[in-house]
Amino acid sequence: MPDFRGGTIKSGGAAAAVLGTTLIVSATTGGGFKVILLEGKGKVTLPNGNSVTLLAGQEVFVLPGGTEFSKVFSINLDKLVEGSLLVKGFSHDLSSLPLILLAVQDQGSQIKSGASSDTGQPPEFFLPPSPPGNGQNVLDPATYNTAAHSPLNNRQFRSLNSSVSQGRPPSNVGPGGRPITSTGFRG
Amino acid sequence: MSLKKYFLTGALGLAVSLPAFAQMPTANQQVDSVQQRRQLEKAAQMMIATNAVPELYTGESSDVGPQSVLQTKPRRTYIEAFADAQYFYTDNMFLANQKKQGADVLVSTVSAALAPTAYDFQEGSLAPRLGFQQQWFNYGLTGPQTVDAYNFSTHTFSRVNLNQFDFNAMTIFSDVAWSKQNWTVALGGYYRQLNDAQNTDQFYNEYVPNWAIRYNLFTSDKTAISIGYEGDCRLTDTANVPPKNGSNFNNRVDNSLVVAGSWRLCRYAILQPSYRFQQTHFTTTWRDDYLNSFALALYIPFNDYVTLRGYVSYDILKTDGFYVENSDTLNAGVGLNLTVRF
Repeated sequence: MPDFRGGTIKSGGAAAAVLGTTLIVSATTGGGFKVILLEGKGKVTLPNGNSVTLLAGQEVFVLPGGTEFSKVFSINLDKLVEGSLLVKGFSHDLSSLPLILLAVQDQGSQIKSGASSDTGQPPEFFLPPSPPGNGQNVLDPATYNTAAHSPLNNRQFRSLNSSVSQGRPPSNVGPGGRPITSTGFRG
Repeated sequence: MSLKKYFLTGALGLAVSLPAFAQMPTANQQVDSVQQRRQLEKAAQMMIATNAVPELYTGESSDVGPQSVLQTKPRRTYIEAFADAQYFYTDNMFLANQKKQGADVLVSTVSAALAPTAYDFQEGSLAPRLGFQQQWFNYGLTGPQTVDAYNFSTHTFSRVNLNQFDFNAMTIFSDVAWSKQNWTVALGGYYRQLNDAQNTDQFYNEYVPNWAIRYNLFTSDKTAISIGYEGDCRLTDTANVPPKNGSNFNNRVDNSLVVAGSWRLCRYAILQPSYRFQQTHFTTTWRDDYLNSFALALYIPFNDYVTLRGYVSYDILKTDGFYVENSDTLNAGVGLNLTVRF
C-alpha cells in the first residue's frame, strides 16, 4: 500500500484534488472526468471547493464543460475489475490488488444479503429531527402545561376557588390537568 | 495510445487515463465538447434505465472496465423500534413568566412501530406506520429541590420535591407519508394520555388527527434546507378544570411553520439550526397561544443505529389565557438514540 496518499489531478479547466488509495481517473477535453474508487476511501475536490467522498466501488463524474459532480453511483466492482485492463492488463499485479479484491468480496456480500450500498450521505440526517424531539418540545406547550402547570398567582387561585361561597371547593377543580400545581405565593 | 500512457500508479496509487491531457481545446474541440456533453447528459438521464454509467470517451469501458450501476434495493424491513434518553436542563420547568423554576430533566422514550419500508406509489414512495410510544418525565435527579405547591385534591399547601411532578405519556400513533422528489405529504393521527407517575392517575388525554407538508432542498452535498407546514386538531379530555369549563376546554387547533437547516460538518457530525412558529387556537375558550422556538442541535451518528446529540433551544410563548402565562424558556441537554429496523 502506498505511503503517500494524496495528490492533485488536473484536466483542462477542471482539477481534482484526491486523497485516497487506489482509484481510476478518466479525463477528457473540456474538463470532463470520472473518478472510480477501487478500494479504501477517497475524497475528490473541485476547484470551486465542492467535494465528494467516495468509498470502494463508488464513482462520480463531471461532464465536459461542467462544474458540478454527478450523483455518486455504486458500480459492480467485480465486473469492473474483471474487465479492466488498468487493473489486470499488466504483466504483474498491482500492489494494492489484495485490497481491491477484498473490496470486491465485501461488495459481493452486500449484494448477496440484499443490503443497500452506503453512499456516505445518509439522507435521514438531512431531515428535521425525528421523534421524540428535544427538551420540553417533546410535548407541545399546552399539553406539557397540564402536567407542569404555570404557577398560580393569588388572583388565579381565588378564581378557581370562587365556585363555592362556603366550605371546601369541589375536588375536581383546578387550572386543568393534574391536581397538584406550583404556586407563586406561599399558602 | 499505449496502455502505459493511460496508467499512472506508484506513490499516489492512482490509475489515470488521459487521452488528451492538458491540451487547450480548439474551436472544433469545443463544438465536439458541447455535442459530447449533450449526449452525455442524455446518457446520464438514462443511466438508471440502462444500468450503465456513460463513457466519457469512446472505448473508455475497454480500458477502465465495464461500469454497471448497482441498484441494490434496501432490505425490506417491517418493524422500527427505538429507545431514546435525553437529559437536559431547563431554566423554566413550569413555563412561568416570573419566578422561574430551573430543573434538570430526564426524558426516556421507547417506541415500537409496524413501519414497513416505503412502497412505490404514484411515482413516489408511501410509508405507513402504526405504533406505540411510552415516555417518562423525571425531574430533579441531581438532588432534592422543592417548590411551593397546592393540591386541589386535598386542598392543602405544601412544599414538595420536584419529582412530585414526574409523569408518563403513552401514545398510540398511525400515519402515512408520501414522498416524491423534494416533497413529503403526511397524514396521521394519535391518541395520547398523560398519567401521574406517583399514583398513575390519568389527568389528560387527546385524540389528534394531524397533517403536514414538507419541502426538502439539498443546497449542496453537505447542506440542506427543510421547510414545512404542520397542522393538527386536538380533541381533549382534561381533569381538574376551572369552574364553568368542560373537560374539553383544552380542545385546540395548531398550525406550525417549521424551517430547519442541516449542515454536514463531516461524516460524524451534522449541525442543525431550526425554527418553529406555532399558532394555537383553543376552540372552546377562544384562547390563542403563539410559540416562537429557536433551536440548535448537533447530531453525531456513530453508525446506522446509534446517534448522540447535543442541543440548546429557546422558546418564547405568548398567550392570552387566564390560567397560563407568557414565558421564555431555555433548554440545553444531550440525548442518545438507538434505532433498529428489522
